[in-house]
Amino acid sequence: MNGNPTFAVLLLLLTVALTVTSQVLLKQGMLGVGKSPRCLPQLLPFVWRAIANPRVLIGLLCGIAGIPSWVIALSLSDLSFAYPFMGLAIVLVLTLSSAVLHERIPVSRWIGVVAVAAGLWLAALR
Amino acid sequence: MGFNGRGRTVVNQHTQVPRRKNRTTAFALLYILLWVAFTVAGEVLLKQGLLEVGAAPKSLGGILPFLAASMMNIRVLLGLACPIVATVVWLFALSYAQLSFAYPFTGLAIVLVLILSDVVLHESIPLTRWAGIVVVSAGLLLASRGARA
Repeated sequence: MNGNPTFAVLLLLLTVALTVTSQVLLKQGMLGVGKSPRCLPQLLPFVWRAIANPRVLIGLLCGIAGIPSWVIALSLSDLSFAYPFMGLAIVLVLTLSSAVLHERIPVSRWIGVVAVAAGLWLAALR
Repeated sequence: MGFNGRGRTVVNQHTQVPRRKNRTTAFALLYILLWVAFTVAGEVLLKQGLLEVGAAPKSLGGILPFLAASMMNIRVLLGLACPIVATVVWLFALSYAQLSFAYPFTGLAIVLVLILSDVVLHESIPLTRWAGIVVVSAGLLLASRGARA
């Protein structure tokens, strides 16, 4: 790890916070927009309606805001250090899916997601 | 008639609801895997394109020519277009799937990018990386069971 570790961790946590917020807002927004149509001519109006939804729009902006902080964090730290934070994001998204979106999450999904996070850590090792 | 109607409704629920739920899950999975494909393709194309363009200059004056050269590279352009398509596909996926069902699949995209970056850079793939992709896949199989949409 090179650069300033504390700064890198702060940026990584900022990235995680923005990503997680983005995903919850996108899902909340899409709950209001409805399911995507299955015929082609209706796709574009559907995309437009989705982007016009305030939660979807703010969610997309949060996601975009996360890009520079992720890129700067990556330039300051190794992949093996940065990628486990994405595992943290997955676990946090699952927690918020349950707490905020009231999704019923089977125990198997919790175990599976912890495995995904562990696999990410393993895959990024060097 | 009311009795008959109710009887028929009950029969319909038993025969149709599971099938509709399966179709919803199939659509959700299709969009999620499309998202993974576009995300991974985007990262790899960008890396390949920028390998052709060369490293970004360290001086301010070199930035504009570097950006111009990047924008002339077909792989860089496709690499920039992929995440835009991926974002739209992700909205489609979220319109069908629970967030807790869809989001873990981002782990799949990340390990695939890790593996393919070794391939693109002609580096050998460490054993821990293979182990990681196996653990992530097993985790996803487990996580994607149960209520989905």
